Amino acid sequence: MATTQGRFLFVDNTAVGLAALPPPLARHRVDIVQQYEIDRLNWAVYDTIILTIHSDQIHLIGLKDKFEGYLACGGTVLFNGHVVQPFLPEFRLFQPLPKRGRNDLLVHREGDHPAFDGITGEVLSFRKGVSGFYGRGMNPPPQGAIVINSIGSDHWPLDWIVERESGGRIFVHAGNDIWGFLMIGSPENLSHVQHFFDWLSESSNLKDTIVAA
Amino acid sequence: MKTIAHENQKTSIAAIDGGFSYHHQSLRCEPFANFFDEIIYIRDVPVTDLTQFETLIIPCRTNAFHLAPLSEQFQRYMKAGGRLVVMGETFPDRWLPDVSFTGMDTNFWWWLEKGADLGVRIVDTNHPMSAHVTKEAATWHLHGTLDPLTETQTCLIATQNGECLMFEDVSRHAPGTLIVTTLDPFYHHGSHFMPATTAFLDKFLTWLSEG
Repeated sequence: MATTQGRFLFVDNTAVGLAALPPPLARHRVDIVQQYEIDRLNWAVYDTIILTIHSDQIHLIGLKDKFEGYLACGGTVLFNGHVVQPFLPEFRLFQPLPKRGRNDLLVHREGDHPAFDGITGEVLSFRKGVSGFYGRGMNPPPQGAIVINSIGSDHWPLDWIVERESGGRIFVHAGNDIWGFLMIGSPENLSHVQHFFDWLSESSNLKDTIVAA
Repeated sequence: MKTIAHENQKTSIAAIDGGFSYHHQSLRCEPFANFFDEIIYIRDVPVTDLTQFETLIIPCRTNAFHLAPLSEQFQRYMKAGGRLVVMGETFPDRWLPDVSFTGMDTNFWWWLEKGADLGVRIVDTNHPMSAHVTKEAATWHLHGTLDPLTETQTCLIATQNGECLMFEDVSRHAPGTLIVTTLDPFYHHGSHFMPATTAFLDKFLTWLSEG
């Protein structure tokens, strides 16, 4: 049972409201802030900066130095979506799968990972027998990245994590926002989302001294 | 107006880029990049003279919080003769006068039933748009309707119950035009999802480019 209290900065760039946000989480604090307001915040108090598929990536390019400073503090960047502006040096442009038929879009677990305990490739692949919801391509990972989930017959890296020597790390999911799909369309799967955020918090490398400052 | 527009007998089209990956893909990449004479980053709109473009498109899901402060500029643009095209999930009911919107739960699954019909229909088969945009191209799923319409708003695309999915208004902001739809093709095409939306954009942009 997790005892840590995670603190997350959810970077919102929609006027939609609750539908775009993660579900309520136990034990964690999620600060939801409109994207153009995040420049002036102290990110070093957050275990994870959460970027959604609705991020303004042109704006994020302008925050390169802030991301570098945050990662140097041991922070985690959770990126959901398709990279079109590589605002971190680990990023490459999104590539869609050349074929996107039902069986071309199968998701594969590439190995055990604590963030995905109890979740199978089958669960990630289909909703009501339809594939393609979880992902449809890849943001090519840098050397040293650990691939957690892949997609298609060539096992393109769909979800990966890379750690820097500083302790900072980047978790990339090349699809729609991950909390929506961990629920697989059912509130009964909320435990998967809770578990994912528990893991983000418990494994956080955020340096305490920086937080205290 | 741009000289090139007259040379080719095509209208000049600009579109706003909200910085989203799906805007980037739809506006700046093939097959649709050639439709646009200018892509304007959302934060550059206030310092852009919009009147140089005959048509301005606000693509799907552009953040309404950022569009609201631009409302006066958009209305002045239409009063100067511009055609403003407002796409789905941008909530113009919050930032333009006399636009109604009622959201609905989206049925992503209707097509799983053999022979099912979402019920989208092209209302006026004499309208120039209908020479391009077909019922099939406009059919993927629905997010909401624009009723009640005002006297100057003419429904172009409707549900099977006659609820409005796209209207055109050539009077309210004359000499300019306002087109509003709840359909969200830029989002899905730009997300590499739902081929019908690619077909829709091909036809819809072809119609808009004809002026």
